[in-house]
Amino acid sequence: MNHGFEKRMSRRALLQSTATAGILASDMTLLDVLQQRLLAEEVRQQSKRVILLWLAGGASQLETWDPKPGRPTGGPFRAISTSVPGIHISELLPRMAQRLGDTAIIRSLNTKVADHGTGATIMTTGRVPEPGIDFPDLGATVAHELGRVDSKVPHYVSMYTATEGRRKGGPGFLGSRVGPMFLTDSLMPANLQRPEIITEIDHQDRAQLRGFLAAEFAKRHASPAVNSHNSAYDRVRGLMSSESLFDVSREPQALRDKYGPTQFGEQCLVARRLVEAGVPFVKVARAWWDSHGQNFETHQELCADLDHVMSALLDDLAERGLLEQTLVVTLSEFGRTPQINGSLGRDHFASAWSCTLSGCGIRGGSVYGKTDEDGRKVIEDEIWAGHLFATIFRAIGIDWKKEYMYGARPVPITDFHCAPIDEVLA
Amino acid sequence: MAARVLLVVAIALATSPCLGDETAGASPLSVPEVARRIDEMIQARLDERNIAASPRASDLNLLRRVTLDLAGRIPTRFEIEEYEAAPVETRYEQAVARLVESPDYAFHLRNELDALLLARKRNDDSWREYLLWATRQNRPWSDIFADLLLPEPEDKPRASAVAFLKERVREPEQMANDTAVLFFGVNIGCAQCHDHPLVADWQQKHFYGMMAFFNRTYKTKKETLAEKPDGQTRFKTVAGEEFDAPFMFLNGECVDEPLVTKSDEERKADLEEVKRQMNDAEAPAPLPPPFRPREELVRLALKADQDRNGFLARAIVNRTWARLLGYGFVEPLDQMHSENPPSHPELLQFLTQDLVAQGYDLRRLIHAIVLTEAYCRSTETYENRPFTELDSFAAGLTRPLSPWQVSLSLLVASQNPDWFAKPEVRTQWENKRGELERQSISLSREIELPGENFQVGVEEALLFSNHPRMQNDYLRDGGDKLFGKLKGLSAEAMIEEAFLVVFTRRPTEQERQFALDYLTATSESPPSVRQNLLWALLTSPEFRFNH
Repeated sequence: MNHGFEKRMSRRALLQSTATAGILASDMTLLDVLQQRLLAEEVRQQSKRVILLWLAGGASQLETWDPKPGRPTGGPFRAISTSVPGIHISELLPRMAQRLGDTAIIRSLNTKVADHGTGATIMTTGRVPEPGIDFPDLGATVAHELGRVDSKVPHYVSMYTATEGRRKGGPGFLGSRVGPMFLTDSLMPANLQRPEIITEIDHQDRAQLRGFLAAEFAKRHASPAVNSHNSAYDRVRGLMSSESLFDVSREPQALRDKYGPTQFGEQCLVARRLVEAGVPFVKVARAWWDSHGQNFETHQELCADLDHVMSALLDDLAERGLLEQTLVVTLSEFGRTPQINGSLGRDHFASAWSCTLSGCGIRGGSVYGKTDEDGRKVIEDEIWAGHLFATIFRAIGIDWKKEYMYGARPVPITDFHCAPIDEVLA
Repeated sequence: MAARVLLVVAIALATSPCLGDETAGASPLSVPEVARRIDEMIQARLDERNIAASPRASDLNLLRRVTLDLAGRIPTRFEIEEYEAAPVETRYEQAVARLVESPDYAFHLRNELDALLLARKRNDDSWREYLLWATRQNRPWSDIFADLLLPEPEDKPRASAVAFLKERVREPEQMANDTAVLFFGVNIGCAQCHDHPLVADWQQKHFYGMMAFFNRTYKTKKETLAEKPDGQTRFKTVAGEEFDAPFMFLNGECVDEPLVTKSDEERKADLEEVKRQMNDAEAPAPLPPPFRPREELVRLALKADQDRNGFLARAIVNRTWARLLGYGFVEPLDQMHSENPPSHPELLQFLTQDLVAQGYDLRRLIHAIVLTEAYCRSTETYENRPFTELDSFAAGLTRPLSPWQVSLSLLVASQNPDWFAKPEVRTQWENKRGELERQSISLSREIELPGENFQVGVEEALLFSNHPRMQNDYLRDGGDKLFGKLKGLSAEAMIEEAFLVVFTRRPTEQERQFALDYLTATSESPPSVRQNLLWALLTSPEFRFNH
């Protein structure tokens, strides 16, 4: 019953003989991408990537990037000066205030739609939803542009929160090849680990047996879909080696302390490990900013977490020389009303709100756009979701004028009439 | 009802000779005759273009293909035996005749229509029951269309057809465009903001004309659909001009709403009533207004088909052909307009007219298509011609299975094959099939619906490689499971049996030798090596695709 070593070897020798040669590259499961200096170096130099910090529910611009102290709409918090002379942000973000040198603030988003569902769709796809077409989200578009077909790491990892419900985005018409690997409560994606009931030897045998049968079929049935089936299976063993990327215990305790013990902190540390290994797009969602009541207490707590984790992330990326290749974005489905309601809350507001871009391709220490003195409307440089997306594409070197074909219809990756914002680009 | 059954029987028995006249009124062509006509028209084009067609696929290959297409699953071991025991000349036609009348046919067509019409946007058992009710009685496509657009809350199970509009009721644009895409084969979404840049047929007024039929539809607090007594659809052109949209069908035919003069009080009362219906679950069911736009749309769509400038029949013919052959006469399927002519206009017209004349009988259409030589061609790619033009239908196309085809086929393949031969299983097949259907749901939800340019994602490969259910559900050792049978066989017999059950064919000499070498590399092999071979068969593209 027990599988003797020599027996294993003869079966393995068979599978690796001429019949299967060339079907599978060398086995990748044992490879820890981060431990391979050369590979890590290559990844570092080549590709650009994005970490999206998604502030689910709608963060208040007034308690973050566009404070209005002393105004009726301003709330109780002060504005503080930052490492960039002339720029003030909310006192709830003291660490970020000291690190604005790599960050551009955009204060002039007017995205018009202030309900969670459509707002989230607009801000994750960069355009208004249309009947009859399912647009890809930002992560899928970046994965499509920057992900390599034979990559040993995922193209797109999305750590969403259960509070967001079904609004977790996806690849739309680009198809599941560039869809996200989802994580929610667990830090480990589903089906990335070999189940214990299958031995390592059997798992390898299966892949090689399948490779033989699949090659026979593909020889006689050449088609892109058949090829995609085989390349998906060919990626399995390699992806399984990326399991270690999701394991924060491999980081020194001192660094883990900097990110902090919160779920958001650990997820951002995972995000850094992923981009370091070459994952083009990682989304980390932090919920739930929807402060219809007690806006100020809510933001006191959530901003402290954001400030702590985001500054640790930017520091960590900078120290590793990764910030030049990594764009960090903070974004929500919308902002919050300047008007403070009867429950000391702020409601949904999409007419004048803020986001940030840090790192790769960005002119740090810049501010773009301006709202009026109470933050009720944009008075300078109003932009729409499409401008922001064009800017993100340009920052990471994607041709923002590119078009996809959806059936007979050309679909530009940037929404109509939108171009990048040169003022925030390096 | 009895009359309808008689009519269907009459059609099935009719074997009128072809008189070169396919117009309505003449006696209908027999199903094999329709198939022959299709092949003639395909062949005429191949001759014109000087393309040689691929040979017919092997018998077993065809059994697998047509069982997947008509029953939504691979054939059982028992069906394979039955097929091979039948005379070579007629076994395929016999198998097709059995399958179109089998309980599986209704289940599978239900699943296909569910994916087409709701695309898994909601889980709704009563909707699926409605579809099964419709496919079991071969309900005419025109009636299914009417059921969906005019759901009658008091008439079970037709009431459950409401799910189609209910899923889209928040946006009249969505109801209008999805109806146009799914039933009429045209995507007018582009014309929402401007006249279509390339297609003269599609102007803004077409989009808003369609939308006008849906603009008064709303959902009541009781979760039923109702229509407001009035309401004008307006639109703005790029130039900024505003227009009232007429109730206009895609062929340009309009319907005028009878003029009703109402006092301000009456209008206000109407508004109040709509508000009450939207907010009060206790409100008595709303009275249908005298003018019901969706009813007008159904009327115009059916009239257009009779007038031979319709969309409904043409679109389902194109979709059905594309589903079975892998490519439509018009591609993409939602671009059926004058700038995008069909590859075989005369054939599309012939099938459309036959469908309308024969009462929108989908079973007849499907039956005829799978009998054609075009459907039966090999999908293998040969030396000098890896691809032919897809729209010539000179070769079969390899098509990804749908999620439920994958899931059901896995269940069929992993079941002990002897189970399917038991007389009690066979007599209660409809119930058994229903059970398999339920068991297949959870895995099918994990698999992507194949769309245009489908690519298999790595999530699927990870699922099949690492999810414990693969081991526990499909490779389990037990008397009811295939593996339970295989483990007791000799290595040679195990290989034969596994290939036949999973791939519906016998292994090639090279495969036989390779598998045998693997299984017998050592004098004593652990059971897991047989499981490994079975896993490799089940995850091979040969299993994942219809070919």
